[in-house]
Amino acid sequence: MLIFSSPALIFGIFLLYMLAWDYYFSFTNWSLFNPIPQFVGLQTYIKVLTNPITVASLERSILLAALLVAAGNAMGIVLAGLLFFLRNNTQRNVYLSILIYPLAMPMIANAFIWLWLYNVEYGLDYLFKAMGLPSVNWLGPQYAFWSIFLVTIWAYSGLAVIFYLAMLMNVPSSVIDAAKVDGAGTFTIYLRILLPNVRGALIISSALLFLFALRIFSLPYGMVALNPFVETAVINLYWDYISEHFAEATAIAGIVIAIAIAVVVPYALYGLKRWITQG
Amino acid sequence: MVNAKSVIHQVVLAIIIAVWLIPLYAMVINSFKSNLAAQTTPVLLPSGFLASNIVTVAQGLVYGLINSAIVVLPVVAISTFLGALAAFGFYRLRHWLSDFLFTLVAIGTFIPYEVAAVPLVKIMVALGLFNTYGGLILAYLIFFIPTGALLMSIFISVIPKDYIEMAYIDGASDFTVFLRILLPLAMPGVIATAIYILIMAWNNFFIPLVLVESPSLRPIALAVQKYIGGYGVLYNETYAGSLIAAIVPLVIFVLLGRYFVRGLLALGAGAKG
Repeated sequence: MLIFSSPALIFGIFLLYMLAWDYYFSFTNWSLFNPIPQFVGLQTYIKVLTNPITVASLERSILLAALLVAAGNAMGIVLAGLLFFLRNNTQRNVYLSILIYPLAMPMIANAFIWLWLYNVEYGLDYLFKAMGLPSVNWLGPQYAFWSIFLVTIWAYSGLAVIFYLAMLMNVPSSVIDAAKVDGAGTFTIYLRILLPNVRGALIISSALLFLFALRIFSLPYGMVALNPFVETAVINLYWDYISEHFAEATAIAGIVIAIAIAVVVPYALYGLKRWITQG
Repeated sequence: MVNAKSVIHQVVLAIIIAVWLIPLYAMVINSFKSNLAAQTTPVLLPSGFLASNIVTVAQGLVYGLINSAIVVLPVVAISTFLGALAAFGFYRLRHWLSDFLFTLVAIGTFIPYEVAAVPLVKIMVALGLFNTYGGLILAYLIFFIPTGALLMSIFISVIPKDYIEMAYIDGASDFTVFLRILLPLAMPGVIATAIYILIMAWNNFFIPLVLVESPSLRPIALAVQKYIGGYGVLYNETYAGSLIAAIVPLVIFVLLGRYFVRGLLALGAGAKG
């Protein structure tokens, strides 16, 4: 049976080879100035982890991922609840599609759409001014990170909504009916009866939102390419590659790989794989 | 009392949905503004309907759409087929090796593409595939064959085992079972996998960013960024470019969105029920 999996296995090994390649060169000093890589032990890692811009970008990526996990789950719980209690299936499906469409859009297009929505003169600020509200310099150094965080909520919350909603729809209606007989209100039913039944959605949404957040590149790159206040770790990696600091780029890659694998492996083995074999 | 509650419920949802639609609305109305309107009206207000703006931008970007089709369509076909084949292998192989392969597939699906930037470029240069369609296709396959295998594993797991056991009892070979029994039974899952990979590969920006140098080879996502990036152009052009970059995945989403949702659900093994 292995023969069936072997074509995919070859590509999997190709991927592993690239990851190993990253780790190998992360222990060298390879760059434009040292075209012949020499083994330098942990020096490149020390260099990367003492570079304030790189450290800030790593912290920012993790912060963004953590914030997106929190906000995405909150939006997922609220919106899936609101959709679940709709009586009209068509309305529910249309609304769900509207919450998900940003995921089907190219992120670079999303970046450009929001670039101009955040424009101080022509964008949302125009509306703010018209309503007598103070205008916000959305993409200025002070707010750029938070503005991009708002876009990620818009772009990725739909992911959490579909998992919460799918699991809510699987809760047997007898459970809800029993609570109704006991006189519980809708809100109580949702909090006390339904949400405890959809804990799986919390695990799935958290893992996926974290991993999607870790690869966020086009959004800040398209909106504020050179603004160091919104640089994610993978953008920092890209600039190191462009400026031919190859060893540094692979060291950042090494760190990001370790973080991603720490989430993917338990998720795959104790989540996905177990759910598959149980069914 | 009940009525007041359901009114609030509907109003709250309607507001959230309206907010979610603002970017789509902005993209559409502003793609059809004149240059003058783009300098005098805000992004949120419509102003006239002028096709010439988007037509001009489209003419400059058609090549990107063609490049995307050249690269993405083979990737969708190969990733879905080889992914399904691999998933069938995992399904039959009850073994520690199956766990290992499944983990590998999950890593390929979820790891940030950006970590492969340097090795990907250096390996493609060494293979003579840097800055070619072939190199782009190969690079996409490295990430999307695992995606295909992961999604198909989930979809195959919900097929009743009896159907497959029965075919074996009748003496069918593995490959016959795969082609004649499994693929037809898993067809909605196959379509979902293909649609998911199509949308994700079409929208991918980073892989061509590092692997393509010649402007003429740029897929649409990269072509748009090079064409309209930053505040250097009028916003009607920016929005028209975004619309052209988004049009193929958006149309597919509108027509076949339920398959895309199934694909997303499968990322969390939620294809059941």
